[in-house]
Amino acid sequence: MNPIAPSQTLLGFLQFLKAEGFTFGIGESRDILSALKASDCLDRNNVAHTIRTLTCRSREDWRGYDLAFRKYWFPKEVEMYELDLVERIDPRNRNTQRMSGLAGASKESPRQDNDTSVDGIGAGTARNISKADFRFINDKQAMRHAERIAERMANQLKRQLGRRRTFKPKGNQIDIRRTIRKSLSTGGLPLAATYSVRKPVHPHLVVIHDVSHSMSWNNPLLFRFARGLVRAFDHSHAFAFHTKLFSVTSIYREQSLSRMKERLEENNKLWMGGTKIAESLKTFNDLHSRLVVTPKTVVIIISDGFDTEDREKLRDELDTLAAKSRSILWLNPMLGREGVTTTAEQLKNELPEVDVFLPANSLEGLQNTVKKITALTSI
Amino acid sequence: MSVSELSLTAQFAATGYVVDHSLVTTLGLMRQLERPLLIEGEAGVGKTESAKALAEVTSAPLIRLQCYDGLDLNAAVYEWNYTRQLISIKLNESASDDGAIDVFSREFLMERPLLQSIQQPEPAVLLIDEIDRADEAFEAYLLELLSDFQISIPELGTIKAVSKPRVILTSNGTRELSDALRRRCLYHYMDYPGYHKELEIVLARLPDIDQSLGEQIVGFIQKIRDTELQKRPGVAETLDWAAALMGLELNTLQDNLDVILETRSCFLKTREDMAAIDRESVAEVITAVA
Repeated sequence: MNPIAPSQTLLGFLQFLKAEGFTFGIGESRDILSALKASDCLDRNNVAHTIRTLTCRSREDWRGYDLAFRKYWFPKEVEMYELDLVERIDPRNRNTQRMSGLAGASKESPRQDNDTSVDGIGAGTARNISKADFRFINDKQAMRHAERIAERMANQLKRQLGRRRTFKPKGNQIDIRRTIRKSLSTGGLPLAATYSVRKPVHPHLVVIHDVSHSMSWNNPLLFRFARGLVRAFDHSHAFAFHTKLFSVTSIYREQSLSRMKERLEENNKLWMGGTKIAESLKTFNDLHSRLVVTPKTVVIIISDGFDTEDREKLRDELDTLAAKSRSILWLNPMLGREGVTTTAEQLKNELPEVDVFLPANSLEGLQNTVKKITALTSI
Repeated sequence: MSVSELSLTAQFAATGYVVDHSLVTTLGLMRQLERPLLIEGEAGVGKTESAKALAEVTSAPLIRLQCYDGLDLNAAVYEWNYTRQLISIKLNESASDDGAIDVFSREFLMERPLLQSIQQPEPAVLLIDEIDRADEAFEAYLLELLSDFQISIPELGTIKAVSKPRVILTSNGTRELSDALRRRCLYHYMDYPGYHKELEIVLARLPDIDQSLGEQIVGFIQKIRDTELQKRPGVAETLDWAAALMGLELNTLQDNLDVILETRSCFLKTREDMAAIDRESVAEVITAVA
């Protein structure tokens, strides 16, 4: 559903684009109107290209624009497309949707809710699959699309933090030492001041990723998400574990996705049977944490929490890790899943060393994680 | 498409550059709004060529600034001719009249691409190539030029543009550009061309190529691009490979597996990609294309 009531006006469309995450100002709106006024050809393509050129700022905007354009001006067309995609995402809905028709179908099924909290990652398609549980994305095309969105979220986080560093509430400060040094060339007279440059915020993330058999349902997407984080931030590290822990930072940094998969498979590191979380965290604390964890580090554990070991040992290791790091986030694909009654609060009571438990069963859950990391790294 | 856009498309075609509707619209806006254009896209899709073609179409001089890590004002904007300044000072000392000379005047200024571009009597095409390779400080310096078409030189003051150049910035996306820079530019994303457009490019650039061979080459490259490669082949690689096959007097890809394997270095640029596209894969793609 459009967040703004669709009025068939150009300005209405520009407002719609802004609501979809496009960032442009009043100057661009003015330029669009003047360009269209001056144009001697106002066919659909020409208008679409003109607005696109002036409102897009990145490849993501460029690729999401066509759908946003059609969604606003030709909503029926898009509705048909999205309905088709949702059917492929969740085959269980196929029959009921066919019977209930176009208008009512999307409101009846809980997995087709068009309203979503996934911000700024494109229109339409992304929004429809945002709440779908990863287990039900069986269609290859939809899965690839969801994987791309998961990886893009990490880049979105990078962009959000990148923008933040340009905001300087107090303005630049004069750097006394450099100003005096520079004044040597003018005989000691400080004619030109030198200003200090604020250091950019580089979030320091460590991802500890469960790749045991119980996680195999969720791993293609969570892999892409973890890979996106590690590739987006130079200072990040990634580790994977099942019954043993191993570093996968260099593997996740592979430019080619197929090469990454190949390297993981070469090492036969995926989908091993059991899980030893406590033992793996002990290995991490003993061997790796000294090198990769600082008081600014946000540790992200991705696991369903099925462990064959006792909880006390796990709490001890989490306690050790919590003392060294800024915070620990636990992404659990079981949370928020249909039929699972355990809540984040219950898990938090059980493992108070973890700062927050977040559901990782859908793209919406991952989006919340991105928001949480943004909040944590900007403290 | 309007008459002026059709005319522009035809003019580009005459230079051998196949331009699509969206880029024509963007170039029209660029001229109308007098704003710079930022073109992003993978390497080899024709970003730089678009600037060259625009210069040819508009009969304007092309001034190119190739960006790199460490690019500074001396190489990009202006530099004082220190040797000439010293010689002038010495000559002035030995001369009979004791009038002082101003060594920080236009006479001693060496213009670099950015300054040159705004000093042209007629609008030039300024290509700032691979802006993502330059550092952020240089990007910040560009803002004044891109928004006001003027350059500030402390010793001389502000130099305003004699004529506003048509500025095209290209980026391969190796690093995120600042919002300030993006805000000042029109934006165009150049993707790999589809089958028909790429075939059109090949036929335009290599008019002597056999139509059937051109179709096979383009079909082959399109298939290769769909595979996961470290460096996907761009249009430039397609043209190189087509030229190489023409040089070897090939008429068809079928039954020429060995030649394709020997010449795949024209479109595959890393060892890993060469290993990935082996004899078996090439045979499969040829069958699919046929």
